[in-house]
Amino acid sequence: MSWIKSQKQRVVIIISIALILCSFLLIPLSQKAENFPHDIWSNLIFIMLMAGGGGIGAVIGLQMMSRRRISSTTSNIHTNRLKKKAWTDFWVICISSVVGPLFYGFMTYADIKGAQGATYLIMCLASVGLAAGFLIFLNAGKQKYPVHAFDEREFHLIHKAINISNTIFICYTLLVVTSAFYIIGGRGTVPMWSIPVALFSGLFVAGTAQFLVLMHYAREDEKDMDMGPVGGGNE
Amino acid sequence: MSNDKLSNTIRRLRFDAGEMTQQQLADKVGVTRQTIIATEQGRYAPSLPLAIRIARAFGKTVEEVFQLDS
Repeated sequence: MSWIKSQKQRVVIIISIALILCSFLLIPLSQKAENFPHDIWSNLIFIMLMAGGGGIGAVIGLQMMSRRRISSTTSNIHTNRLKKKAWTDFWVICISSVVGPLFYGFMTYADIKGAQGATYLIMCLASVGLAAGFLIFLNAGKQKYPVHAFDEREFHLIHKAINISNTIFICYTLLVVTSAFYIIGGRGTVPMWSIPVALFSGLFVAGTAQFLVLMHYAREDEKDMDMGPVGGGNE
Repeated sequence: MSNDKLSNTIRRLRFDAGEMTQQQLADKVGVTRQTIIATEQGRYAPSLPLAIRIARAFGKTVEEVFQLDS
């Protein structure tokens, strides 16, 4: 496996395998719940979705990392790191938007139906996430450029995009909460599944906004590179 | 809000420094070529450390490279 070289690639594979294994762990947990749909087809569909999400995430992650390694060694001056950052973040938010609601929805349902051990599983996953984050943090500290190798203008643009994205997330949250109050009022109850769905749809909307803003900046940069003033570039 | 605009002489200084390319300057001061282009066009006001690094790359003072137009 000569292509698995960096620490980050190993972390991606470990997380993907953990995700797939968790889907298997959920089956025996769901058996303890009353009226839970634990027939063979429900289990099979759930395993396929989780494994598919984990597998697609691993493939995309590894693909992006291998591309990054190639581009850094060839030292292509036309490399637009803002565009790369935009796409990377967009894929992450897309995968999270598929796997996240599915997992949280399942866990919420399992908890409502009385499945024992659901809390322990969430704690296990949180531990895996923390360990993975810590490994990435340690690995980042060893690199020449400690954070991302972005320069100050790129950081400035990324922060602007994140600020816009955060504002959109806040507006979206306010809109959803206000709509919920307007529609339901004080008369009814909010179904449990709507909470993770609202959270992840908000994250997806904010992530998409961040992607669009970064792509706009990247396009402006590329325009400057193409029509750049005399004296720039390859000569 | 101030209406001051930061102009610069980076392009002329590059030409004077043996037609230094934007990429060469970018490598010298440790930023991307896009940042040099944006700075040169006056679309981006660099931080003080970057302004000093750019000035040092040409052997000039910051005031010789960057001017504040009111």
